[in-house]
Amino acid sequence: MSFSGGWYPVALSNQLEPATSAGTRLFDREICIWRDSDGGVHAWEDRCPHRGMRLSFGFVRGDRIACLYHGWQYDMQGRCRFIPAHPQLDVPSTIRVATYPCIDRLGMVWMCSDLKMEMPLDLPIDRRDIAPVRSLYVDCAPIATMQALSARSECTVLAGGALISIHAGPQNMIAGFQPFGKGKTALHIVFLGSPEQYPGNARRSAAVWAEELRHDLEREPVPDTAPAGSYEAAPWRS
Amino acid sequence: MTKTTDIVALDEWYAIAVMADVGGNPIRTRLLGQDIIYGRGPNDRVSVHEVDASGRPGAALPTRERYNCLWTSLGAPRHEIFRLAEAEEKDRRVVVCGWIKMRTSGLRLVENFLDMAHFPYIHPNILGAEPHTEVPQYASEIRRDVDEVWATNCQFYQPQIVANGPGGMVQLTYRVPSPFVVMLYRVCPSSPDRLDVIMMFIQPIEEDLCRALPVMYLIDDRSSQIDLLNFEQVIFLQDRIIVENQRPLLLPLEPRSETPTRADLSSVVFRRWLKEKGLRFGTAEGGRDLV
Ligand code: FES
Ligand SMILES: [Fe+2]
Repeated sequence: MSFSGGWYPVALSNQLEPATSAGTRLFDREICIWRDSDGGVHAWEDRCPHRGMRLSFGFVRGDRIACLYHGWQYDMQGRCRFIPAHPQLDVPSTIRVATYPCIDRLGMVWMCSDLKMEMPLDLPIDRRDIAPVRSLYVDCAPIATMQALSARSECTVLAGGALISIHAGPQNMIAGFQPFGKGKTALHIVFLGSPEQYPGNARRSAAVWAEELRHDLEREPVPDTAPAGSYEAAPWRS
Repeated sequence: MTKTTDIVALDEWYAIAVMADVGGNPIRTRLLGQDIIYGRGPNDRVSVHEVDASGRPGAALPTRERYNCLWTSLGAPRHEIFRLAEAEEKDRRVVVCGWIKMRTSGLRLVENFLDMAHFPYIHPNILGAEPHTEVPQYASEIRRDVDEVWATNCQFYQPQIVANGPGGMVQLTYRVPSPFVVMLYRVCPSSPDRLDVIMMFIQPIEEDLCRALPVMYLIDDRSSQIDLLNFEQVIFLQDRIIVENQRPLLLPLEPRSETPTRADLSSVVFRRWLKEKGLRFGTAEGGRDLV
C-alpha cells in the first residue's frame, strides 16, 4: 500500500467547533476542514473554483460554507448553490469543489488523502469516550518524527501509521499522526476514556510530555531519509 | 531569483519609486527578478542601474518621471508611458499613498482591482454592503488602437458615496494601460461632470511578489490628506488578505482553470489580452513552478 493513499487525522474534534472552518495540510496539499451547524465534518480542497481563494477563510452558515472573496455558497456535497453577484442565476451543477471523504472518529477529524478512493476508515480501536489532550505541530519531517517518537517512548504503530499508541511513563496515550508536509508533522493526542477519568494533572503531564517532544524534535532536526517530495518510503508502511 | 527572460515583461515601463523618495543616497530594489539601484547624482540627474551578481552597478536603464513616480524598464519599451489627461488639469488634488508589498503575482492584484463583486465581502460598509451584491452587466474590451483593456458602464451599489452620505450606485470605468498598471475613473460626487481617478502602479519584484502604489488624482477638496491616505490603506490591507491567499498565487491564463461568470468579464478580457501579448511573468503557465 502506498503511503499517500489512506485515512489520516487532520484535527482534534473539539478544536473544530460547529459552524467554523480551518485550513490544514496533508502531504503539503492545502485542505479546508469545516463543521456544519449539525456537527458534520467536511474536508475539501482549499481552493474556491471561482478565483482560487482559500475556502478555509470562508464562513459557515448552517449547512453551507461561503467563500470569503465573493460569497459563493457551497452545499455539503461541494456543489455551488448561490452566486451573490448574480442572485437570480440558476447555478450550473458543474461548479463544484473537490471534496475528500471525511469522518469524526476517536475524538479526531479524519480524511482520506485520496479524492477518488472509496476505502472505509477501519480503526483497530473504536471508542466514543475520548479525553482530548492537545494537537502538536512540529517542524520535523513525518518519518523523522515517527523515528524519534519510537526511540524515546514505547510505541505501537496502528492503522498503517495513522495512529500510534504511546506508553510514556505512567501515561497511555493515543496520537493521531498527520503527515502535514515535507518538514512538518502534526500529532493529535488523546486519552482513551472519558474526560472524568483523566484529572487535570494527568492531562497536564501529557501536555508537558508533548511540549518536550516538540522541543527535542525541533532542536535536533533529524534529516528525513525519504527522497525529497516522496512519502512513499515511509518505513512503517512497507 | 534572477532576471526574467520574458521579453514582453522586460519591455514594459514600471514605476519603481515615489519621486519624493529619490535622493542622494542610492536605494536598491528589485524588478522582474533583477536587482536595480536608483538615486540622484551630483548634478541632480536621476539614474537607475542594474546591479550585477557581485553588487556592482551595470549599464544605465531608461528613466521617466511621471505621475510623481520614477519609472524604468529593463528592456526596450515600444511605447511611452500611458497618458492620463486628468493629470494635466491644474485643480486636481494628487494623493500619493504608500507602497504595500504583497506575496502574490502583480497580475492577481490587477484583477482584484478590476473586480466589483468582492466589495460587499472584503470592504463591507465601505465600498459595498450586503444585500446589494448584484453586479449589473457591463462591457469590457481590448481597445486595439491603444492596446489597452477597458471596462465601461460599470455600476455598483456603495453604502456611502461621500463620507456620511446616503448609499447609491456609483458609476465606474476601468482601464488597464499596461499589464502592471490599472486605474479607475469614478464619477465625482461633488461635480458629476468630472471624474476622480484612482491608479495603482505595480512593481513586480518576483513572479509571486510585488508591491503596489495607489496614486489618486481627485477633485475632492474636502477630505483631509490623512483621511484619504487612511482610507486607501484600509482598502489595500483588506485586499491583501485575499490576494495572498488565492491559489495558485500566479495568475492562470488557461480559461478552464477557474470559473468566471458575467461579473468577471473584465478579468476574462484581461487574461485574453495577456495571452495575446505572450506575457509569461507572473502567470501560472509561464511562471516558475511555485505554489
Ligand atoms: S473566489 Fe471564491 S467566491 Fe470568488
Ligand atoms: Fe478590493
